[in-house]
Amino acid sequence: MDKVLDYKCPCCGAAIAFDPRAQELKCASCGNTYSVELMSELCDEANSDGKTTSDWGTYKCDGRASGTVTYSCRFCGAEIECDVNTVATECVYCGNPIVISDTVSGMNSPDVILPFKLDRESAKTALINYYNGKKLLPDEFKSENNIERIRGVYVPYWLYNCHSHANATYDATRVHSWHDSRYNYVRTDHFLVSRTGGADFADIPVDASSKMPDNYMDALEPFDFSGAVPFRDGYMAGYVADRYDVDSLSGSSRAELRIENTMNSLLRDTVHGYVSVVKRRGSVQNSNGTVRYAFLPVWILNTRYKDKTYLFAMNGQTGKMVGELPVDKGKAAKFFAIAAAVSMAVINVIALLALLVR
Amino acid sequence: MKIKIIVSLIMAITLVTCLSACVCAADQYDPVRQDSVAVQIVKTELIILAISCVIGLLVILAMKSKHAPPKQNTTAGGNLKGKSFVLLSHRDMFMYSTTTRTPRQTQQNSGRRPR
Repeated sequence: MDKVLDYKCPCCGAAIAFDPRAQELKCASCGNTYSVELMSELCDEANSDGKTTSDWGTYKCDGRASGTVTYSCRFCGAEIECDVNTVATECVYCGNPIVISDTVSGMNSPDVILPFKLDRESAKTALINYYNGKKLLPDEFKSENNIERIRGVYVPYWLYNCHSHANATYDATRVHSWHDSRYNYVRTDHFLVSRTGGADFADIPVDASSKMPDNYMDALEPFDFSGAVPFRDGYMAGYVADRYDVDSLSGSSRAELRIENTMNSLLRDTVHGYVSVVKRRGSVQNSNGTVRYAFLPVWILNTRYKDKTYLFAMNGQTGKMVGELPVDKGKAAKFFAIAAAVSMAVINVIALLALLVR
Repeated sequence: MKIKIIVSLIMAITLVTCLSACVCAADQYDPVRQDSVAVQIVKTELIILAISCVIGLLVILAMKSKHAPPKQNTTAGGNLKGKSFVLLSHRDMFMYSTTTRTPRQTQQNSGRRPR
């Protein structure tokens, strides 16, 4: 479809026309004049779609499966039923670690794996340390050993790499004020600010498992990918793992959003010297995109308190712990009273001193 | 238990100070504000109480935020390759300006009462 160009005055919105004498566009309504270059920039900006476009290519094993499969434990002979995406688990009867190599072989093989660096005991200690400094935590929750289950899980992740090119335009203003004997004057200068930039992104992790809460998996970052090694089945023994069930194309939207926000922030940081800066429009194009399939180490801890299960996750490489904690309402009321009473006393003293000084 | 006693003590002292100030100044009159001094003290104490409650609420919200579930990551700043960000072009173009004019306040039109 042909583009329709609308030339309107940026100041008052009235139609403007080219003035042959001034060699500029002039508004008959407010009298402002604009250079051809500026109006072309405004028209280009108004006609850009402001969307993010990406080219990630297609990952070699995109595709999803559902259902259950049955395996027999080689140690005790018991039948183990598990999800078709299960990669590593343990026998529910004898605890023997089982790695189902079909789900991580050939086309389904992860490119890299970050081996666990922290053990089960470190996860327990990290959880206890995580409780420290949380003054509203119920005492029973702290004192009781209510950890239900600790599992070392290799979570499937997509790692996105790309070059990003972004542009953005802003409405910016500068203000000057002065006065004479009768009046105060405020002049506001309006500017059209445009910025274009590029950056390379490496290994943006997006979890590829629908079973894992996205907010928890995101909060576990950063992972140090210099410790990543080519995938070997042996790393999985004794841990739990599922194959991805969110394909790389579905996961890419989360990576794109993060790239877009970062590029917008980087461009915005280059706009200086204005009183106000408001974004008009912007777009991001991602190119040379590649995706890697990785297994990253996470300790999952489940605790139970007053019939509610609380989930905690720890980065198996760095030890970073995330999770939600209950709040003791009684303690909250107590701390509110203390804070209010102390501040009331302090304000009263200040008021009294002010009165005495006067 | 100790904390309860401390809180009660602070509240009691504040209340006693306020009441005694009111009693002492009960018959005094402030001609500028056209109000009795006792009423002014009560008003001030009510404002201080409201401010204290707001401070208490802010403290609790700050403490509660440590218990909240983790938030989803919305940026990828940690995944930028070194110092790969390059500003390819930048333009700042003047569009137009607007000027506002307001009369200056002088002694004649400032609205103050002459002393």
